Amino acid sequence: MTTMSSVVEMVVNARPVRAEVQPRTTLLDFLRDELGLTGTHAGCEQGACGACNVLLDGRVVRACLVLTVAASGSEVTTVEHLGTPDLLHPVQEALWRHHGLQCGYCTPGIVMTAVDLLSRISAPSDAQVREALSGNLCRCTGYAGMVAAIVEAGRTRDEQAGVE
Amino acid sequence: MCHLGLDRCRPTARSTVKLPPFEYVRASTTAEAVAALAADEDAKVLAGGQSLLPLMSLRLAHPTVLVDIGPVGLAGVEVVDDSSRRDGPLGAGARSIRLGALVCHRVLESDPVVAEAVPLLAAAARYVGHPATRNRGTLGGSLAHADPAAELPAVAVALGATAVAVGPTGARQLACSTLAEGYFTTCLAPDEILTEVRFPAAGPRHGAAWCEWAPRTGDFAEAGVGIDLDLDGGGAVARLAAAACSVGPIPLDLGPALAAAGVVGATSLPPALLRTAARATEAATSAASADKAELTGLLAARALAIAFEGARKRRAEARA
Amino acid sequence: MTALDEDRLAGAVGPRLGTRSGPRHLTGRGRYLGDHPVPDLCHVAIARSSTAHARIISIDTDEAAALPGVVAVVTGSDLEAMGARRFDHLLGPPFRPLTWPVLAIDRVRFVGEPFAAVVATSRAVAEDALEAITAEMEELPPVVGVDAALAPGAPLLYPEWGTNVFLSTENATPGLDQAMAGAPRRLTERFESHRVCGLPIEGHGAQATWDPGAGRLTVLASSQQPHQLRSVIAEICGLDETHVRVISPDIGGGFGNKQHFTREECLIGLLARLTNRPVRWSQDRTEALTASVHARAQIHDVEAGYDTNGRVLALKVRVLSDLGNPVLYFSGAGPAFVTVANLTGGYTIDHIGWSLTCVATTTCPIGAYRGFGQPEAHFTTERVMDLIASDLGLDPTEVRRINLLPDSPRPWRGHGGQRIDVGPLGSQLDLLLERFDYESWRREQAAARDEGRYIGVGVSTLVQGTTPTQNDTAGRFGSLEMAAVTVLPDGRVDVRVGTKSQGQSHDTTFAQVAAGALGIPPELVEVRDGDTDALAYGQGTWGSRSAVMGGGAIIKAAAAVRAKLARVASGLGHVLPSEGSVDLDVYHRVAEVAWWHAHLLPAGVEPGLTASAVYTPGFTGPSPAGGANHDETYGSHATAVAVEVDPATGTVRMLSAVLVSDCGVVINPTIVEGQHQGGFAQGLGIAFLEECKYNDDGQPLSATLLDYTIPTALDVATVQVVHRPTPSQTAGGFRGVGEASIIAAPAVLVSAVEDALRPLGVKLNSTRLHAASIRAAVRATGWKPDAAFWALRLRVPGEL
Repeated sequence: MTTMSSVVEMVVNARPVRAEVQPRTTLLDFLRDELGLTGTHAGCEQGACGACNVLLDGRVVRACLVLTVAASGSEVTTVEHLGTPDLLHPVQEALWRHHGLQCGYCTPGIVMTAVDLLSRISAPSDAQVREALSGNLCRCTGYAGMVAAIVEAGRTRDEQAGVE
Repeated sequence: MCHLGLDRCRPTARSTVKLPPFEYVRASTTAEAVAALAADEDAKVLAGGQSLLPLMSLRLAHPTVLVDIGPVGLAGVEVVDDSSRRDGPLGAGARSIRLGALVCHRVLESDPVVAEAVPLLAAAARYVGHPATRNRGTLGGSLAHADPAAELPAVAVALGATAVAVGPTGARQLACSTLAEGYFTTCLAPDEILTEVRFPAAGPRHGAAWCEWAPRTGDFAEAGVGIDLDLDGGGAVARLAAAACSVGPIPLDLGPALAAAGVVGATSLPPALLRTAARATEAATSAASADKAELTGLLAARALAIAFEGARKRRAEARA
Repeated sequence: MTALDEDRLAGAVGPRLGTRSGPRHLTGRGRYLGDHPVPDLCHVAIARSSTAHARIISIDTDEAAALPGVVAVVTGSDLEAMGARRFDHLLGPPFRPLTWPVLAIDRVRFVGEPFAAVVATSRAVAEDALEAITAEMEELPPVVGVDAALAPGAPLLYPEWGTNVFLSTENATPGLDQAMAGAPRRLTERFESHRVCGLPIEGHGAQATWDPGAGRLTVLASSQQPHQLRSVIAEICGLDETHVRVISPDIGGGFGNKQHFTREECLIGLLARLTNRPVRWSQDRTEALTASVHARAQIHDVEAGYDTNGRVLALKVRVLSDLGNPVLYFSGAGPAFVTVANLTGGYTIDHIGWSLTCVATTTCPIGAYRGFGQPEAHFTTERVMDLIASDLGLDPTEVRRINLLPDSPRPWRGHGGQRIDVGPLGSQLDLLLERFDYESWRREQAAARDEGRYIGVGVSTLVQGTTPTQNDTAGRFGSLEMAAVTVLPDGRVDVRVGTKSQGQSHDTTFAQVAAGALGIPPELVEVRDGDTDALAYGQGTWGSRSAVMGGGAIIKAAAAVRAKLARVASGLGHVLPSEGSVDLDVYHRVAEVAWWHAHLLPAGVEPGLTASAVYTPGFTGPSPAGGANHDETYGSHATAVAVEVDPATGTVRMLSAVLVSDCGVVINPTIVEGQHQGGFAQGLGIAFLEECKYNDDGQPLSATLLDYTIPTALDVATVQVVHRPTPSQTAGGFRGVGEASIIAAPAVLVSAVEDALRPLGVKLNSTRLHAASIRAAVRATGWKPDAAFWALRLRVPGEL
């Protein structure tokens, strides 16, 4: 079917969404402009910085490199779904404790990458965390706090899983 | 990083971030996709989009139609008996692994079936971009994009992979060594789609390594070498396959150069042989800059050492 | 204003409090420029020159204007027709006069210079329209690099100058030439600080709304200096300052890149007025890399005379500064002036002379990036120390030690009038060597060399001027700060300050400062910045100034509030001490009474608990011996790194990095460490990865993040920070910290890499320490890698 605008249906942050979009609307613009989910940030819109990372069907992707029409039928999770300022997700909590953010602009992408990593590797090493983060550019922190935080979040979760 | 080839076509004139307008075709079968491509010469296939969409957002590409082949499927990973193979690795039987063109880099990197059957492919996939782009980027997309700095086309050349391309007149099989014809240029017709890639499956005394150097991990490799070898029962290198990326417009088959250097038949890799292998590689890649050729030689020596060590371990395990 | 020592702010100042803004940002609740939806918002895309140098013949916008969704297409002439004024740097001689329009009208002078703009209902449509604009340009020859600009017969950017030299000046201490001639040993070198870019992850941007009834323009801008931006927008748009409101929302990094007052910010104001629609421009990555603000780009021709103990007797530096097209307020000449003022660093060099030549080239304007001229000076000074050590066979730490400022007198007056108030430097160096374990790294180095591995150690002893104050015309850009402190009836404290946080967590540190000054818990304090309607004036965040200036203003205002709290308390029969913690029950009672129960107030005490203050430490200005001090205070930071270099690939691996930090009173150690770690990463990026490159035609070769490569988590090692504070005489005892490690990093890394490669005899005179540069330098010595050794040795970390 050829079209200049399409109806897409997807589940975003556990809520069904239906909308008409132009083919050229990226998932990044759709989340931000149509759904008001401005936690997903536009850093480069060239796929290089990772500020727009979200989970698509549970796997981390660059929202600027996904067409909304191509994501129809998928499940999308953005940073807004992971925790609230009063009840942070363990990854967010660890990042806060380790001063793993400064200006906060790359932070949502970092959080999504970390959540994806911890879903694949239960207690990643420092090197594994750095490799996973290598697609997320941060200009403020020099990464030390965020690496320590994600290592700790993995280890803590692993220990808790051992206790349970 | 997805390989955009931006070093050869930098945007300067205008600043853009949004995709230009295009029509979108969601193809649910290969035939639908081919028909849509055949209907418009400026139509392009959309696979993972990790290279195409950045080029479009910079308005360096203006396709009129994007034909999304995602819904077609083409994501299977399957080891098959392959009676057509006469050159199977020793002790491997005639097996191949058949990968759908839309198998994503992340699956290549992490699927145990791929790791067992084509360890070089799994090793190289780790170097393609970053986790978030590997989740979308596809094997077929990498081969069809034909970036000279890309890892997977070189792996396909090294291993003698074959691919299936489907066009208006049906399917044809082609050797991956003939796929890339120049910078970002393949032998595929505009209305042809890669649907499948077959790699020979590794044998029991097998070793493989991908080594590359880039200023930052995940960037375009300034030089990269894949080595894939089998030992015979006596521990000598019985078969060697190798290729380099980033040393010319298309991947370079290093197999002949390394064979001539005396690697095939070797039962150990003493320093002198590694040096000879590096020099042979350097000579074979001399069309690139001296700097690149030297790096490629070093990487070839290291990849050889790692692959050989891996094969020896497997052989020892098999005997134990 | 008497100085407060650490104890007087104790309790609130010092603890490692978590950042206030952290949870908001971690959950995607930050509100950056692009996160402020407005009904009927229009988007702007900007047409920019694709040629380095050209005369504009004509610009055809008809086709673009006819596209559906396009609201307006404007050129520079259109804007002037509606009353837009030209930018003027307002500086007198020796600066050449220069004005520039919002959009280029007659000529373009770098690739990326704006010449037209589209307003449309979506950014995508605006970009479609850009593709439909055609401009006829008569190409003129490009001017790329200082040498090309100074060459006889060079093409001229501004023919009316008769030269490409924008500025030329010099200074020297009396007797310099004799001292140089009499020095037992001399060295002559050329050092380069290459062109880079601050590159915050959130690009610059602005959004404006025009209220035609009130005649009032509201501009949201990702700006580090909202109040001063207000002045510039008012000037260019022809409005009174009272009719312009500038709001800086959450900022996704600044680093100086958002410090200038740009054409685009004014353009957005004009377009809002022209179209009577709210409009937004969000800078994209290509704009950020080619058409915002580049930095550094200096060449230093250096001559140093020294004795056989390594003591520097005379230093002569010819600074050549590439300004790009200097169409920025305090363009690249600003950093260059800072460079020449800091060439002696923390050393007692008897004689100093410099000349400064700033040239215009057809490249992106040079301007601010974290460090602002000091990294270039420090690089040269530290290179000189290393080369002297190398020449004399001395330990580089000993050469530094013999040249460091003695522990007294304080303040130390520099040749230029600098009033250097740092703590003792020799013992700071001792602490560094101890914590870094210098001796053991030298042993490791020797052992590694025996194995054919290349380990190197680098040291830098930095004295950094902070909190700059400008004189004369440039005074508008910084000499004071303002704050307002109000204790509300519920006891909560509203603090407003004219600095602007861009990730430095001022909401946390200033809450700590205010709480310390008031004697209450920081949780009661809320800090607001970045709104010209919320505070009458301010001068923003840059130059490591915020703690000293903003903190000082808060302390001053809080002191007034605290005095009133005490008077009211006393009238109610309570005692509130003038220092230390206060009784919170009394405090809350006073807060209620002051606002709600005027009849209970002591006679002569007016209701309310609020004060605003303007603060400047007052340590700058002319020095007794002539010259001038431009920095209110100074920090000192001593850094050591150990690296391993792979000469085969040019890869450098960080083995250890230690920084002994004296930023005065430490408000929050975690945040200070974050500043050091982040600044070091940026400095490492400059050295190992980054460069804004041009080809000979003036075409930028680093227009995307794939070409301009900044460090990732795999590239940056953790810096161990050792706090060794000595209080300054400023209001809070602060010294400022934000720029220290980015100044130190390129110098210390080049030092370490050269040290590692000493057996090969490699000399490194540029901050461009990219792997390819290292390979080239190594290959130039004739060294060839041994493939077998390389293949079998330990694999390089970072490699997968």
